Amino acid sequence: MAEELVAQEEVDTQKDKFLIFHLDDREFAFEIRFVSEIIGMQKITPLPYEAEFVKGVINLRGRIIPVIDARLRMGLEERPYDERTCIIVNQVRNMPVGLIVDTVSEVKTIFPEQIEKPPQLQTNKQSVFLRGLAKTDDRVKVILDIENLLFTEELSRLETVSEANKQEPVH
Amino acid sequence: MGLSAEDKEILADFITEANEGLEKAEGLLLQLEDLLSENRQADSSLIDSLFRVFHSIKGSAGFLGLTLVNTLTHQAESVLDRIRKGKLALDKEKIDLFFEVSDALQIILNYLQEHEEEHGFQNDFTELINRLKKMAESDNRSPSETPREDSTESEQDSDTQAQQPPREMLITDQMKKDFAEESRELLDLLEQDLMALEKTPADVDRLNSVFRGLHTIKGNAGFLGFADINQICHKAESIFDLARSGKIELQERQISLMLQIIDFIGAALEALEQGKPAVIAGKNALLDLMDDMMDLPEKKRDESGANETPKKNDQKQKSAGEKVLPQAGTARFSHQKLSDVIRVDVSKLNKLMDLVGEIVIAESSLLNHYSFQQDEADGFLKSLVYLQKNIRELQDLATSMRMVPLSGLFGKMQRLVRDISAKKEKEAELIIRGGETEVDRSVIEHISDPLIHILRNALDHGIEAPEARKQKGKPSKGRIEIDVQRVGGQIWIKVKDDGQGLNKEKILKRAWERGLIPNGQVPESDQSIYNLIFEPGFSTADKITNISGRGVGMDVVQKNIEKIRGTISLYTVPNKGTTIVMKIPLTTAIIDGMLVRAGRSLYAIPMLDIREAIQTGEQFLLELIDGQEVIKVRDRLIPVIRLHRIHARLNTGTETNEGIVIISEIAGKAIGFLVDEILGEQQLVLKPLPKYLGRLEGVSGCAVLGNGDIALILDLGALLNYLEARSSHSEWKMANVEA
Repeated sequence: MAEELVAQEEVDTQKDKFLIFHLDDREFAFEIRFVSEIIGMQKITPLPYEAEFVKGVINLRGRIIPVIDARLRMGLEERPYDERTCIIVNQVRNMPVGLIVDTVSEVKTIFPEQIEKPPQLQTNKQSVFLRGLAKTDDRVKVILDIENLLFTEELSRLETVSEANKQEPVH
Repeated sequence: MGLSAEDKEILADFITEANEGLEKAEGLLLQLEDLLSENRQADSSLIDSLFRVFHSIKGSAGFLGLTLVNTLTHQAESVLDRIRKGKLALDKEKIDLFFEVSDALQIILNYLQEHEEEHGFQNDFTELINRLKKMAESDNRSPSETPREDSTESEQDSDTQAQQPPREMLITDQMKKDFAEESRELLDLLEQDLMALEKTPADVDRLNSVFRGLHTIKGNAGFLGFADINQICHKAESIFDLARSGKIELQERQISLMLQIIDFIGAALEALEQGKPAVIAGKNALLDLMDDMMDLPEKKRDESGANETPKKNDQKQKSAGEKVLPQAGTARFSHQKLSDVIRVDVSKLNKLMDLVGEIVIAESSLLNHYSFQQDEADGFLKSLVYLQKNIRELQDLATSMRMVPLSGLFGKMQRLVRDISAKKEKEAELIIRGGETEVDRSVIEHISDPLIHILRNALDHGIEAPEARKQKGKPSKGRIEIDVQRVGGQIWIKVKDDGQGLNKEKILKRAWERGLIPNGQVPESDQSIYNLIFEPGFSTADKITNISGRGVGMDVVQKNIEKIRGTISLYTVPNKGTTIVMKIPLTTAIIDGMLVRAGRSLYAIPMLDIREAIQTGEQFLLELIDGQEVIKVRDRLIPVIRLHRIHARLNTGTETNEGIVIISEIAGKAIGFLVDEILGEQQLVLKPLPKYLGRLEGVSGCAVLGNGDIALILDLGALLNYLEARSSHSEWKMANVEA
């Protein structure tokens, strides 16, 4: 009971809170409840996965955490990491995943009514990441669907490939 | 039912215990069957042991309210009781019946495992129960003599009714609460007394005190109409009455049983306090158990016989007369002194293993610390070496705690062989050597299915029908031998049958049909032909039988074995038989690895896989026409793979021919891996790759090194399979170049 209450409270305090990060001069935001911590750039051990945006794994206090590059994931061109580069460690679907971004700026409250649907003029493979647009402080922030960002498309394909490998032939 | 965490735990314990019990029961039944088939007198101690197995399951099932399990075991027990009392003769039919009971119980247990309750269970065992009932009642010499348990039960039922107080309304909740509270205090005292008695069982003062305590609870419970508590206390009281007057002598084991009974009473009181009825679910079983204690002197003789059966040598040192369920694995069944064996949640052991893993990592990070590389660190280094020694010991200990003997698994195999040979009308015996070898729990899980499959294959395709065997001049009864050996950090499980061996032509035909090799092509060596059965999509049976050939082939077996970094190989001689050897690492969590660098990447290769390492220059590597590089080692040509190229995306840089070739042997093939340098040998804690990323071919996991770097741990067997699959046959010829 008590735990549930605490959890409920946590959800409440995190409600409508978004983490803002930057790629180039654009601002992106996603719900803070997915974030477990934000760390500076770490030494990345590259892994030979097909998906280019999978940069490899980092060793975070003994835990091995996969990191993906937000720029590559969103179809932007790669940029060398610097001292402002951050890894946002998320906990999504019970798995820790690090997201490499140019820089993290702040946590903001964005109410649902502030979020507008993204214009559906053009759909490309990045469209599923978009949840909407929000205008605060005279700047437009792109609200991201972090679950889709981390899990759809290439990755799900990657997953199914390995699933298929695991499946035993039935005949 | 909505189980509390506690109940779930009890249920889980029950399932484990019952499974162990069933394993044992099958072992006993097989022994009995053997005796019977040789027309020898069935050993009464075996029947007694069997009786006790069902009895224990019955008791716990009663407590947990598992009616079906309770009924089945109860009936089986009744039949056994009549057998051991000489009123029924043990014959094949009954043994089969008991096997059926065992199977039925297994099905129920599996269901329980999944659903945590009996409710909703579909299978109907009424017919089986009726047959048991009929069996228990048949051959009645005097009609009044119904099985023991039935009579006691009906007595108790009438007791219950008699003791119901006429006006329940008079009993207020407050009275109940007071009773519960008071009784709990008494139970606490009883517990202390009993624990003291464990050490000095003949202490009359203590015995008196226990007697009085039970007596008080009994009286109150009777007054308030709590029949269950009343009955249990009454029976317990009688025992202590006998004990204090010196008529029976209690032993440690019985006292710890009494302690457990106290727990049952405590549980009933707790229920009472929560406003639930104060029932003791396993009451009848507990009463039975206590009945057994009352005629201790008579029991003694039975038990001493039981301890002599060959399977139970390990228990021999225990004095006769104890109520012991033999076999080390079932130690928890026996009411053993607490200090001897305790039960530990597997998750705790896993956690311990993880922690030890972390310590190993921390240790290597300490060792690699730059400050220790200096001379003045001498003193430090000494204590570090000492620490290292202790860590190694800790690691061994933690590993050993997860070790279980293979004999439990093999017990199931005996049964399997019996059933299949009966179904296929073949005769076969399974001989097991080295079953006492211990392996990691997780290893058992992984080799169970492969072993079953191999045995099925052996019986289905290997062992010929008795007639055919006779014609070939073999004994009509086939032999399958399982041999377990510990070799270094591995165990080798050899399964050998004396059947007809693999059929080369059939395998080739099938391989062509399935397109496993180009039509008409015949691999150079017979061995390569035989190894085709490990190819995915291969099944040797001409038609799919209900035993083997149900879709899971040897490729799955191989995959399973490779999952735990094991290897499998096969040898066959026509008409002499087939031998399959599985080589499996003892533990899966910490491995000895050789750390190597290839390009920018760090890899670790399990030391077990490495045969030698050779410094190479350009002149040593020869290139075959098809691009395959080979190295000549002592007149053998060994194919070489550049580790750089395996995960080419990582290593786009330049490649040199200067480096080290690590020669390893996988599934009987020698193969070399070219790396840039060897960084040293290290204890590595295998961590799985993040689930998010999915599988990486040829990599079994990763390891955090002392300096925080991450190395990929290579699984050479899987890697080779992957490479072979990736390149077409013309490019990639792994056929043994060595000749």
